[in-house]
Amino acid sequence: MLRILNLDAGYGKLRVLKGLSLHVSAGEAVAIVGANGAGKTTLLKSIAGVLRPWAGTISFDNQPIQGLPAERIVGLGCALVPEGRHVFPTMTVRENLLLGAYCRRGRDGGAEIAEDIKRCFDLFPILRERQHQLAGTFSGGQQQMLAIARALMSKPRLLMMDEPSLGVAPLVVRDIYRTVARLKDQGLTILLVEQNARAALTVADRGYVIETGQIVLEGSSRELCGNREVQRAYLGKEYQTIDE
Amino acid sequence: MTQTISRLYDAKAETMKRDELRQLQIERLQSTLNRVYRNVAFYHGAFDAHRVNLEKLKDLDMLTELPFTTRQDLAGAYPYDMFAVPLRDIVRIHSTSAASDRPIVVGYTHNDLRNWTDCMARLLVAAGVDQHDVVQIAIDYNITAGAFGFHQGAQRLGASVIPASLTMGVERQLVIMRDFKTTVLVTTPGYAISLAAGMDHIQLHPERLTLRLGLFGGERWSEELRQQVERSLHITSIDTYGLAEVMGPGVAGECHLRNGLHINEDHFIVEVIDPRTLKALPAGQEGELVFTTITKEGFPLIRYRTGDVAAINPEPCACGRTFVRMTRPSGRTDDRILFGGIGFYPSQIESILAASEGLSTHFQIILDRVGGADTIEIKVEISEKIPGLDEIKTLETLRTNMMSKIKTALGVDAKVTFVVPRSLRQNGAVQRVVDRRAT
Repeated sequence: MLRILNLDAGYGKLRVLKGLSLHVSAGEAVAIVGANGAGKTTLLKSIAGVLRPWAGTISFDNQPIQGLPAERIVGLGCALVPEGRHVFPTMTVRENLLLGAYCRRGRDGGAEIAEDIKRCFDLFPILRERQHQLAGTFSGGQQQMLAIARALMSKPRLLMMDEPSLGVAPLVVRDIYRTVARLKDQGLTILLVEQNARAALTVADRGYVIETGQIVLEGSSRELCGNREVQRAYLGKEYQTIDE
Repeated sequence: MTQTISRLYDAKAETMKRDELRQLQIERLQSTLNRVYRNVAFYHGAFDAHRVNLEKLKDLDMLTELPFTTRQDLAGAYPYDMFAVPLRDIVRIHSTSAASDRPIVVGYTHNDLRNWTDCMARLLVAAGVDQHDVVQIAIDYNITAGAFGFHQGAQRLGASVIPASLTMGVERQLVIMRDFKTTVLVTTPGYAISLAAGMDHIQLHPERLTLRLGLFGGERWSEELRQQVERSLHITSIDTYGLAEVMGPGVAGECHLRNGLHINEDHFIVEVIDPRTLKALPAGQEGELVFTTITKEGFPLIRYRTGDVAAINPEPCACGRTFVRMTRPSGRTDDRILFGGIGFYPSQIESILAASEGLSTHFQIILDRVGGADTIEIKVEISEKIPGLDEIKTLETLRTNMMSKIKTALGVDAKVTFVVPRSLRQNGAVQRVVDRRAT
């Protein structure tokens, strides 16, 4: 579904992604694991069209999308849940969700959109309870749920999530990941970027480990979890015994 | 038509579309290159020396810009210098057999073992093995990888595995085959011939066995030998290919159509080069096989020159697998000898001789097949300078000494014969290897 070949991207003179290649097949959940500053967010921003790639190709359903404006990419069915949520704090839950369906204006009727809002509420019941509250009054976890729901309102076929567990209470992280697993079971394709490798690899089928803008390891989640280097660096195992 | 579609162990991988496979290969190649550059001093140095910019390696055909890895490089890294992970992450160590030369030591991580087992399981399923089979593995279980690869794969499929190894004699092997109702035999072509001869000897008719399939590897063999094996054991034979440095057996294997060996391309990238010019050869042309591993963690190899000569057939196979096929290796680019599944070089014999007093380094290796069993004889010219040469006792001591040294170093039982000085030379040169095994 998503295929990236030799992607270069960065900011100003700073080259962050250095010839990175990866793919996500339909129905798959793929995790990108890496330390802070490795280029994970840059990667998602490049795919979503927020950042213009320097070189390389990004194709979505065999169609090149690199350089397209972000709204076109959302329209094609590729939505991003950005790091730090970025919900609209002075708007209500319902208004935030309606904005998520912005790209569907003139295409889908109000009934369909209302149906999708209902589906989001089923997914996150807390949002139904608080649908008329302002998003700015929410906790980190609730904002994250809202951000995911808002992305789902664009009816994506590929959902990209940037650090969904960041700044969220551990118990809520578990809830969010349960929902991610449910979305995957419903057939949604997911690309997940996480520093919380353990959580990401439990829902993902495959993963890539990214270091300083390059992929250094690729494999099934089982393989990555079984890799001692990944265990030491990202899963926090053996932290007492590391003496090298 | 449905009959020609064989069973697949991992249909998703084995029938992957070529463009998807290409994407996967690029991804895995790039991550492997990034890892070896960071973790293996040899590759860090080699890439820097060749001014390789890994960030610019964008497609598979750019692989040709990378330096080769040779057997000498690996021997020079003895024992652990080519490992890409710390030793505590290694869960298995195998080694090539040669001991007089420095052997090549190969380490496997947990994931490497799992991938290896998967590759073997694919190969066995392609051959037609399943959980109902009784698989007798007549390969020596030792530091070399061969027996373990087949063992793991057959076990994964749920077959009944008999680790018969090679320590027992031919007759005992045959009794097991008959009484345990072995259906699949895994061995070298040479040993299969010994088994067939043994059956004649104890008057065991193949009809009294339940054997139906044989998987062979570890030696080159001709079509004639293959037919002889099939005829004498009443089996269908399946050819396999692998080498310890790259992984062990399981790099490639025939499907039931037996028209070339499918290479597990999601784990290995294959190239065929002209061993003299080192240039890539077009598909279909015979040349030296070069492998790059793209999933190995413990012992990754970039453009490893195998020394094996074969050609690649990219045509799709009727079995449905999309992996390219290689021909059965037709020879070597060097003088490596394969005997009983063990590989060694004449130079190794030479260095043993050079270390022994009273012997010249003029010798001839004669490989033959006598009464169905493969034999190796080494004729050595004795030196004229040695005192007490005419004493039989001295000679006999020297001879047994030599035989045990060869056994220790190479692991083969060679017969050593002494000949008078200068008798081996024809036109001033000694023909080092005479191979009279059935061809």
